[in-house]
Order: sequence, then structure tokens, then C-alpha cells
Amino acid sequence: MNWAILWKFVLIFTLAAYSILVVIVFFGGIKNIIEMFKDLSS
Amino acid sequence: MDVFATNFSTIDWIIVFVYICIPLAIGIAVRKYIKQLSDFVLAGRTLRLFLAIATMTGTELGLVTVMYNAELGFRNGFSAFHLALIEAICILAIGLTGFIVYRLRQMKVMTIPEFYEKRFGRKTRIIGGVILSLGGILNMGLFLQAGARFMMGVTGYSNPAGLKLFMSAMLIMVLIYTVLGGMVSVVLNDFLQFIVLSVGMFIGSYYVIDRIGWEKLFEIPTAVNQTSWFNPLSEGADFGIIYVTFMVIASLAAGTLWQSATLRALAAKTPKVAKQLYTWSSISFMARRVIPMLWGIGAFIFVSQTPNLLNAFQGADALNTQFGMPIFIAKIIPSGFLGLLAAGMFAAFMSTHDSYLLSWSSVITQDIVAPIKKNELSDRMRLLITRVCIVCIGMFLLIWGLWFEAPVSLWNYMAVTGTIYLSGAFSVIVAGLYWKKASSTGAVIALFAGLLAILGLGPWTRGDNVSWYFSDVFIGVMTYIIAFSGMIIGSLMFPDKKTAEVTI
Repeated sequence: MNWAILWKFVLIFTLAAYSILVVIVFFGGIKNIIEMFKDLSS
Repeated sequence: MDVFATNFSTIDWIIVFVYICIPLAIGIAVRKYIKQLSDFVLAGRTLRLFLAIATMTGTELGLVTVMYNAELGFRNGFSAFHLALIEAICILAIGLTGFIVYRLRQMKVMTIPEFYEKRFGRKTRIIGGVILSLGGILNMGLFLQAGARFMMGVTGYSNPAGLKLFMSAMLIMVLIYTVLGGMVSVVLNDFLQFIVLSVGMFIGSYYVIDRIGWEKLFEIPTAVNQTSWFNPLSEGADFGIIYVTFMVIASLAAGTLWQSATLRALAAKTPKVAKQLYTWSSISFMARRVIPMLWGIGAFIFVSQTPNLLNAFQGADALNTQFGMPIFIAKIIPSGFLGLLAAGMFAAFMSTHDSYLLSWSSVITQDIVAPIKKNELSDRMRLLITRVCIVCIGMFLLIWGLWFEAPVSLWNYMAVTGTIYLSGAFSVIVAGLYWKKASSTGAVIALFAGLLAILGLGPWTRGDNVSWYFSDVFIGVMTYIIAFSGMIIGSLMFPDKKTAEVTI
């Protein structure tokens, strides 16, 4: 088993996947905050 | 090259100070939304998916997480990446199957010990609450110290007393906004901190890869064991098969039952959102380990190429290996960006502290004080006790963090103190949810068995020639096995006269 290739893949995957997650959570999170305050106010 | 030389300048201090004032303002602003205890502890169970992911990541990616993972990368190279892989797979598995978290959210419990009472009675809840708070508060005991070390490395300010005072001031700010705004304040701050922290992590990773070079990053430094740099199971590695086994069990148990993380699942709007939260968070759980480990690996390569830095980490008066990463990034990241990264790390520091304070204080109120008072406490009184507990835990952390010296590996300390609670809780919850014959006697035995993990902090676990059966890792694995066996044997030998009906 080539450990170096495995860890190289893990590193690239993590950086790419986390970048996408941050963008999605940023926009989705703002929408969720607005909805949360509506819930708490009612 | 001076060991503590840094690019950190006045502009970086300004960025950091401006940033850490924001959470205070949020805490004051959202106070009007806190009407009852469930608003304070669970934000009224209004968390939707993306906000839940941000707050879960903000909580589980603390400055201490960055420090212990960077230390693992610095000491063990890429072989430490196996921890990231194990954790991500466990969290993904929990998300896809809903293992434990789905049912707990369905039952609408506020804390883990609340389940103990529903299934095994009040006595089990109080015992579980005491052990959970003991393990949890001890677990966060070294957060302040690790944070102070990060600050020393990044700012180049090497007076430990001054830095601890600075960290203490930050802790007090966290106390204020957590006491005022509870979970609503914590969630909003976690969201902000998730964004700032992530930006800081990308900036840091860019400069690390740029400074070391992509291909050089995967070349084994001459100063280390050639095979163990990549292979966690190789002879001479700090890990090995027992360690990997311990990490698989601990990741599964912590993923489902670590109170601060589980609190997010319990605060989710629906059980389905709780499942989705775990599925998506498997990415951030991987990132919280891989990215700091990358920095630690870069730091070691950098240090090994710089003779006077290498000397500083060797010999009798060697610097603690936790200093490796902050000293490295302080030298390679330019001023301005360094302030942003430091603000991101402070964000991590605060978002972890606020959630942990809220978690353990709500456990003390709900699972120890209220059951002792036979649940006669008003909601208003519970809110007051929770707030008082937050302040008391904060004071304990200040004292503990200022005088207790960290063991050799910060991560091992975290894993062992976590096992005090997790080993018993995991056995009790799995059996309680999925095995009809589980009894209260078995549950109490399992919970007390968890205390065996304290042996993993003893002096016999230190040094280079420790027998494998005296190592903290072996003691950790055995604690899980004994707790689980205790649950099964205790339940079979002392069955409950009447099995509790758990309403879902």
C-alpha cells in the first residue's frame, strides 16, 4: 500500500470539499439565521 | 534565526482586538430572545441544517483542536492523518444511519443523562451527570494553556504570565456573552467564527504549501524514522494497532455522545436534520484534523531545515512540541494576514469555550441539581443556576489552566479525560436504546467503570520505555471493554423488575 499517495489524496479531497462546504454553509446559514429569529419571535 | 521571531505587528493586534469585541455585542443584542431554559440551552430547538453545521464545526474546531492536531503532525508526520480518516468515516456512518443521535433527538431530551433517567431511573441520571461533568470539565482544563502557547508562538511575546492574563481576559469575554445570550448567542457567534476561522485556515494552508513546496511536502525529512512518517501501523510509529483501535472506538463514542456536539443534534429542528447534520459535518471533522496537521508537518520540515530551530526542539531544555506550528506560521505568514489568522484562531478558542461552558453547566443544572431537588425547580431558577455554573466552571478553568502542566501529548490527555465519560455513556446509551434487557444496575456499573480511565493520566504512562499494558492508550481501550462488559454482565445478573418504557 502506498501511504504517501493515500495521504496526498486525503489532503486534496479535504481542502476541496471543505472549501465547497464553507461557501454552501455561508449562504445557507444566513437564510437559517433569519428563519431562527422568526421562530424565536413567534 | 531567532526562535520567537515573528511577522506579527501592531496592525495584527488591532485586527484581533476589533474582532473579539463582536461576540460581546451579539450576546447583549440577543438577550431579549431568552425566555425559558430550552431557549437558553437549545435555542428553542430551532436550528436548521446550515446553521447547525456552522455551529457544530465552530464548537468542535477549537484552538485546542488546532494545537493538538498540529502537534500530532509535527511529531508524527502524515501518519497522523489516519485519525482524520477514522473520525470522518465514523461521523459519516453516524449521519447515514442515524445511530443513537436520531433516536435521542426523537425523544426530545436536553442532555444525555436525561435519557438515563427515562430508561434507568433518577439515580443513574445523577451518577451519569456527575461523571459527565467531571470528565468534561477536566477535558477542557488545558484549553487555556494550549491557547497561551499558540499566542506566544504567533506574537513572539514570550512572557508566559502576560499571555495567560490575556487569555484569561478572553475567557471572561466568553463568559459574559454566554451568560447573557445562551445558545442563541452561541449559535450566532459560532456562525461568524466558522467563517472567520475557515478563511484563516485557508490562508494558513496556502502559505504553508507555498513555503514548503507541494512536492517537498511529501518527501520524508532526514531527521525522522523513514517508514513511520507515512505508515501509522509501522514499527517505531507512535501509533500502532492498539492506538488505531482506541481511536475507532473513541471517535464513534465521541461522535455520538460528546455533549457539546450532541447538543447540536438535540437542538436540530427535526430528527432528520440531526442526521443530515452529521453527514455534512464529516467533511468539517476531517478538515479540523487534516489542516492543522498539515501546518504541523510543514513546521517540522521547516524546523528540520533550520539548525538553530532544530536545536531548540532537542535536548534537555527542548521547547514543548506544541510550539512548533505557531512559531513556524509566525515566520511565513505576512503581517495583516497573520492578524486575520490569529483572529480566526481566537474565534476557534471562543466558539469552543462558549459551547463547552453551556454544555457542562446545563448538565449540572438539569442532571444533578434538578433531580436532587426532585424536579421542583422553576424554569427561572434553572436558568439562574445554569448561569452561575457557567461562571464557576470558567473560574475553575482559569485556576487549572494556570498551574497544571500539560502531559507530553495534549491529544492523549484529551482522549483519556474524554474516556472517563464516554466509555460508560457509550455502553449505557447503546444498550439502553437497542437492548431490552439492559438494566439500571448494569448502567451504574458501566458508568463507574469509566472512572478507570483516570489511570491513563498516572505517572506510570510517561517515559520512553513504558510497557504497552501500562500505556494510556491500552488503559483507554480496556476502560471501554470493561464498561461494556459491566453493562452486559450487570444487566444479566441484576435485571430490572420492570423495564422502563421509553417514549419516542
